Amino acid sequence: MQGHNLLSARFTNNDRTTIVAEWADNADTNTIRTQYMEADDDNVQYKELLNHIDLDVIHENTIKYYKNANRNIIKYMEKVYKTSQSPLLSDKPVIEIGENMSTDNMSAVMKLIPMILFGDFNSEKYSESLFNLKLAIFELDFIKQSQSRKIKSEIRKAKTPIEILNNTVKIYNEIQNRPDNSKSNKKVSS
Amino acid sequence: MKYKIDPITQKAIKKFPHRSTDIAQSFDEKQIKSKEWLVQELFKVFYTYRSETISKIKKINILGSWYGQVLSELLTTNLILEEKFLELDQFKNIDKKDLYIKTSNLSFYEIDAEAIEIGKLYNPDSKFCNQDVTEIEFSGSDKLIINTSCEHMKPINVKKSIIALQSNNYFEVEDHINCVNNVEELIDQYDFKEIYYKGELDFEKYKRFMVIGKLN
Repeated sequence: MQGHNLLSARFTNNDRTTIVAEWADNADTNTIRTQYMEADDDNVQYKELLNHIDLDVIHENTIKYYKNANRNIIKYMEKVYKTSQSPLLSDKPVIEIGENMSTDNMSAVMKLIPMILFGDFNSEKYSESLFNLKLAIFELDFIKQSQSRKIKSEIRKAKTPIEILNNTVKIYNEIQNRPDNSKSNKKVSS
Repeated sequence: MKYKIDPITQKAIKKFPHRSTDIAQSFDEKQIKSKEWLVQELFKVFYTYRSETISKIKKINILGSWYGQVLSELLTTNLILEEKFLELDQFKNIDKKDLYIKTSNLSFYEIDAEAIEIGKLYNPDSKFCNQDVTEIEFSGSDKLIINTSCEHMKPINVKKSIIALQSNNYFEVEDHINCVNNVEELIDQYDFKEIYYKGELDFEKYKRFMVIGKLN
């Protein structure tokens, strides 16, 4: 194409009989022109295109283009599939923590605490729950700010909820007992 | 007779006869149209912004929506996934009935205790909270807050959540203490991080405005 620079070219069909080429206008490189042509040796546009790009490269571009397109389709479909697992579709009750937590939910949680802390804890069966507790603990501001590497490591290695909470309280008390501790540091935020 | 009153409404009127006019009014055509508009646009938002909306939301808080029966019905009878996908191989094992929002994930906030009692008849599995929503602080990106009565109350305190708001320019009604002239005025009352939808719907005497977005 006169006055243009070739940007890319690839086949558009499985039979590889049609090519799409993209050209940038030399006068304004932001202007891109798309040209469709038959991959036919008698086709003038096709012959002209081959002066700018090798046929093997057009084949390679085609493979790359469709690989990328497939990847994007898979990514999109994964997103769509995730929709089908939305928490809103589950009938399992979600306990809302925080100011809006109902008194019923709070009572239910309170009743469970002694059992979780002092009952027999099956750390193998509930390994994921234990991991979630550790995650929640490490989200606390005072734990994030704490320099107590040793205690933090104990929390990471803990096998029961009481071990986790014991070490968490150690860090909490350390901060509470610091002479420079201001009122604002005392608040445990969630 | 082709049409008949639904059994729950019948029960509600029998139990609360003094509110029968009010119950009938909650099925008003304009009320239904406004809610249909909300749910239609909300589901379009869900389909477009999947990962930051529907895949993430754990709870829907519905504020001041009277008895909530129209909105809950619409929210829980629309497929969360577009029909076109159900034909595809990767979705064939999904049971269609598992693709509806469950009423147990809806929480209704209403200042009128009796309205809550009526609301419970329609949605026994949902949660109900008898509180003034303007006194509550809502927060969390896993929540969707719906308020279709913004004209009746001062702006609510919400942070980080997905929000769907409706208001109107029907200034003539005495109870309407927070009407707006256009959707931009409604948007200005909140700290939006991203707006997914904004628009207006014409009624004979007024316009209804709606914005759906994510707050800072």
